[in-house]
Amino acid sequence: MWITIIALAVGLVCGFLTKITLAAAYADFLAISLLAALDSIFGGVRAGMAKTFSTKVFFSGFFTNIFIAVALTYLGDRLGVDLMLPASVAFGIRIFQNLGIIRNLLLNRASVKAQSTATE
Amino acid sequence: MIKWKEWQWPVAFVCLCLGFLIAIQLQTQATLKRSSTPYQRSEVLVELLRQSNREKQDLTDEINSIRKSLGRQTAASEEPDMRAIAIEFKRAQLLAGLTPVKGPGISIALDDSDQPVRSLADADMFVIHDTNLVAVVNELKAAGAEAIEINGQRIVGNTAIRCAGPIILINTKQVAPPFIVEAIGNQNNLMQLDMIGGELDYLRGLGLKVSIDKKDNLDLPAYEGSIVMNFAEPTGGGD
Repeated sequence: MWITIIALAVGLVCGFLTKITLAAAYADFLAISLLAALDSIFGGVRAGMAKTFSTKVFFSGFFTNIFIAVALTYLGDRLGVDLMLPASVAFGIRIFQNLGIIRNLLLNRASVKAQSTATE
Repeated sequence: MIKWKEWQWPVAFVCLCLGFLIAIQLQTQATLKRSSTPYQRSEVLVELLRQSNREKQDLTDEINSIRKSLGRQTAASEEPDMRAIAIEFKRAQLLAGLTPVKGPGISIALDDSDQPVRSLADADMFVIHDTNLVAVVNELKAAGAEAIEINGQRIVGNTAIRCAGPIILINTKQVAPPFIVEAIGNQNNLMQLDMIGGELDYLRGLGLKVSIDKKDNLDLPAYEGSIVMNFAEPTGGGD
């Protein structure tokens, strides 16, 4: 689990060191990409813990999610409808669902460990 | 050596991307906050503007009272030379438009069209422009108008009528439709402005609201701005 946190920190440091800033018009696209990435990470962790992880599914999900989210936001921008909202709501719900499953898995694992130590 | 589970590598990679994106987003948001004018700041600016307008009004009043007292003092003088100067001064002020004047003349009312705008492209055709007012003033002068005023702004020799976005500036004062143009002069001559092919006819043809009326008692205000000559010098002659 530590490697993900280290990777996150390295990414943050790299981002701050490059000092890249985007125009205000693109801030929305970046925000929705962030949510998509966050969603993919929690989905990946959940799949990994449930032992159903597939690298193909993970990466394809990550890229299509980002692409669709950005495309929706762009379309919404053009149509004058805030299509960023449904995307962020969908990602938000999925993130919470995945977090719930991860929590359950962790609790199960802890209780299994406790039982196994008790029976030994 | 701890052995990482296989699935953690892809997740770590996406985490790396996420960190990078978060850093960029934070920096972008920070610069956005710095560059946009916050709501409170605009309120302060509005208050400053109001205050400046009040000060400007006070200074305008001061100019007018000083001009009046100057005229009074020269007129009240005992010396005959000063009397003559006072008469000349009053005449000069009258010609320059620095005194309020009254007399018979005409009043022209111009307003934007209230027809629905058919498309964005020809929205310009439904409003009065600075150039329209310039043309009307030009025609009034050609018809012998002796004093002209638009929405409280006296038209004098150095008056500029220009466009400033949604409003028009006359003597650097903001004016907005409806425009009431008042001119003192020979009423019959001035009424001829409503001729075929004239500016009023043209504006009416565009669907703008145009009306012209005779007025027997017009009161026109004095020019309130300052007239400063920094470069032009008299070259003798003329007297």
